[in-house]
Amino acid sequence: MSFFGSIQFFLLMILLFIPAAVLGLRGKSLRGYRTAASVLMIGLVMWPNKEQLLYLIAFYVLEFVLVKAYLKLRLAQADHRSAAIYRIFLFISILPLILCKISEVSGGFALGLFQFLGISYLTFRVAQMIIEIYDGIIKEVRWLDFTDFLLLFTTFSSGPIDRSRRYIKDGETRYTRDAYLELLGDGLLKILIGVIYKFILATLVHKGVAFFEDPQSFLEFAGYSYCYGIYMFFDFAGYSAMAIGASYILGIKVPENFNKPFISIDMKDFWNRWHMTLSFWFRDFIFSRFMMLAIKGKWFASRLTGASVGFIINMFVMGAWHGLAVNYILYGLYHGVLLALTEIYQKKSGFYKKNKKKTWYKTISWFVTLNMVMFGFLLFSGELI
Amino acid sequence: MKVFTNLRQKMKNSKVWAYGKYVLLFYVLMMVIYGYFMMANLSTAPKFIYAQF
Amino acid sequence: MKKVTAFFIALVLFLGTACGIHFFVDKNIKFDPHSFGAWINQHKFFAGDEIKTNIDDNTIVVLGSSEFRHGTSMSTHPVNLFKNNSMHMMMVGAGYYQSLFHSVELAAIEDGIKNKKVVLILSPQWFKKKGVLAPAYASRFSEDNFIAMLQNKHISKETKEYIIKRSKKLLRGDPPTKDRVEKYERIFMTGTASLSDRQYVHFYRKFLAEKSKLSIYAAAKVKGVKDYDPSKTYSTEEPDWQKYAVKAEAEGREAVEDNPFYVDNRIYKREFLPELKKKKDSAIHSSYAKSREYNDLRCFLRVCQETGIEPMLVLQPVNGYWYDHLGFPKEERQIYYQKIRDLAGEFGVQVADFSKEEYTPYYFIDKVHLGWKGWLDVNESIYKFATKNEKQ
Repeated sequence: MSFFGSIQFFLLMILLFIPAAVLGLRGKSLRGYRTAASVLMIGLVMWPNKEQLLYLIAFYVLEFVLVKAYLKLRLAQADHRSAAIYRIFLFISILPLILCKISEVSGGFALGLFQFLGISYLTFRVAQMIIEIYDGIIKEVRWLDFTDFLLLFTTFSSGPIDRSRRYIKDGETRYTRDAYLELLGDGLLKILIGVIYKFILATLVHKGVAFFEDPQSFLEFAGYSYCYGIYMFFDFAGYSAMAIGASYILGIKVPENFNKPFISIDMKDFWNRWHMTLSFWFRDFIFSRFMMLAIKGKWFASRLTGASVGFIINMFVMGAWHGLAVNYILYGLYHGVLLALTEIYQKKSGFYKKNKKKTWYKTISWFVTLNMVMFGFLLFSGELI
Repeated sequence: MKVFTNLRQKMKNSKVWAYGKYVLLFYVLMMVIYGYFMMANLSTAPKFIYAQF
Repeated sequence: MKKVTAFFIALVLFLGTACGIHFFVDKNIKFDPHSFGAWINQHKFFAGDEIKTNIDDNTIVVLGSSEFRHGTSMSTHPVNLFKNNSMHMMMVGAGYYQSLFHSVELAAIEDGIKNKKVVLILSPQWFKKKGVLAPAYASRFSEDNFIAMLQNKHISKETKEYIIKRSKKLLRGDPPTKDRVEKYERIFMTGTASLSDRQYVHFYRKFLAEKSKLSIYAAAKVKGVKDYDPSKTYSTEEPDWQKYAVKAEAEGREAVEDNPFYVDNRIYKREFLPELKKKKDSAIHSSYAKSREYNDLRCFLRVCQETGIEPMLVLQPVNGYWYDHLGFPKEERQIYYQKIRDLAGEFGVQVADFSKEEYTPYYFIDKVHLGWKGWLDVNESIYKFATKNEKQ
């Protein structure tokens, strides 16, 4: 059984929806049920792979202890928060992910440390909590909320990446009958669309990818990139739609991941439309933190230079997060450089400032962006290596 | 042409359509999924080239 | 509110449509027996239930491989020879459909075979050392019929285990299917499957059967398989074999012209000439004496025994002229023929033995497929086998 991949999963999920719908329609809290359902589903999916399940349990315990411990420390520190202690706790919280990524590429050493499905996405949830505890925004962490947020089975394997405060607020809501019916209707629609995207359209486009396999000529490379990019979209947007729809039915309005990414008119627009929850997470917790530190420490001559470096570092981490392999890191760096260049161009170019609202400019800009994006997918695919 | 635009106006305002369009949408989505799984070749077998000897 | 009720109304409409389609196809799944019988298509072979629906008292099920598809313009090809005859052949098979596939196929459709007989046309090429190739078997694997075979109470445990073992080996290039076969093994053989596994198979089989039914109907319509016409009458007379022999000789002579292999001259020019030199004596070390196919054939004969179906094996010769050119040792060919006879004797089954026709002109249309005289002999033997008890 696999998340959103096998018939048994879908059948069980539909069964689990029924009590959720009953609770939701009666205006009751879904939190307890949702958490129990998540534990059950994750347990069943991971049961054949006991090693993974053990790592997950270890991860859960470790992160819960970390978060609670750091919360206590931070609250005690009140106005004299220690950056050093924060950094230590943050580092330990992402250590399992680091170990996992290293063990993925190192083959023999590090026997599959923490290699369990979903660790890449779960780490975001915990790291975000620790960061916001440090910021002083989060002042309490209840066990049930933490478990609910961390283990929501619909977004367990590949996101979308939600934020704890937003999530918990949704989680506490006792919906009115009409409000829940809206969620239910939207959820069902999203699931159906997701099924078509992922199982039908992505499969069909993948035939194109297979057709252009082992590209030799420029046209073949172009064909491969376009097919691969469109395939990635339908596959991931399809999964996201199913995950979001299913989450709706369980009472959580998980944020969207895709917004017509192929109409983007420039690279910044693209990252506001593609894998949005990932992009925004990185923007809020890596890019902006970096910028804050850079400005405070006066690391760069101009804000523009700082932003450019920030983009590159931000996207580099994003690439490495996919995996410590050449294609992923190149992909990250590529997008980092493109964002930096875009920022410089948009801030400095008179041509841009004069023409940016014109239709012909936007059309050309769209076409250039589309090709840059598709080339990025070619890098991601590893076909060039 | 005017008949067409008038029809569109009528549809946009009609209460039945506001509701019926979702029925149609869901129905089409279900039929597409059904049609695909019933008709498509879902075989995961490796491609076999019939080699004459 | 709107969307949810819209969803449920659409769901009801959808289920109604699906049921409607199901019953419509069911009502229209009976086709013209000759047209359907002669239709060569994988959708048909995989649709066990629909094959059964199209078998009547006058049907003889003929399992084979690529010979069905070649030479359909010859008068002696079954498509033409039996066109107006009340006996109709249900042809099942195409290239690389061999004994193991047919074992499963027979097990799946046997309860629908009204005359309790079956014909298996053997091709010598099946008996290369490895037998059926793994990717060939995997791409011709009908899961629906496989499950039906496992559910067939007449088939012995040993036979089922043999088929499962062979299938698992040959499905190594298709892990998802192999995993499901292992699941079926747990359910039907060792009994170590979970409740959810059993329920899954139950519903999965229903899905496969429905999919098969719709696919075969759509394919038949697209390929122009003729509709069933209850008013159509057929001749109950035995075909005039002498007349056909004369036709075969004439058509053969005209098509062969003067090539030394006595095959269709266009094929001689297109396929033989370009590699004549390359292929000369290229098979001097070849043999059909040792092959996994013998055990697969034995399995087929066991299935016949266990289900009470009387088989007839058609033992084709090789194209003697071509095999001599290949340098394929004559003794090896004789060993193959004898092994088949021995195996048939072991099970007490009839063999239509045409091994002496290696050098009969116009027997083959190309290197391996039956031609004018070849089909004449095979069809006569099938007709006599199919009608033998009725004439008494």
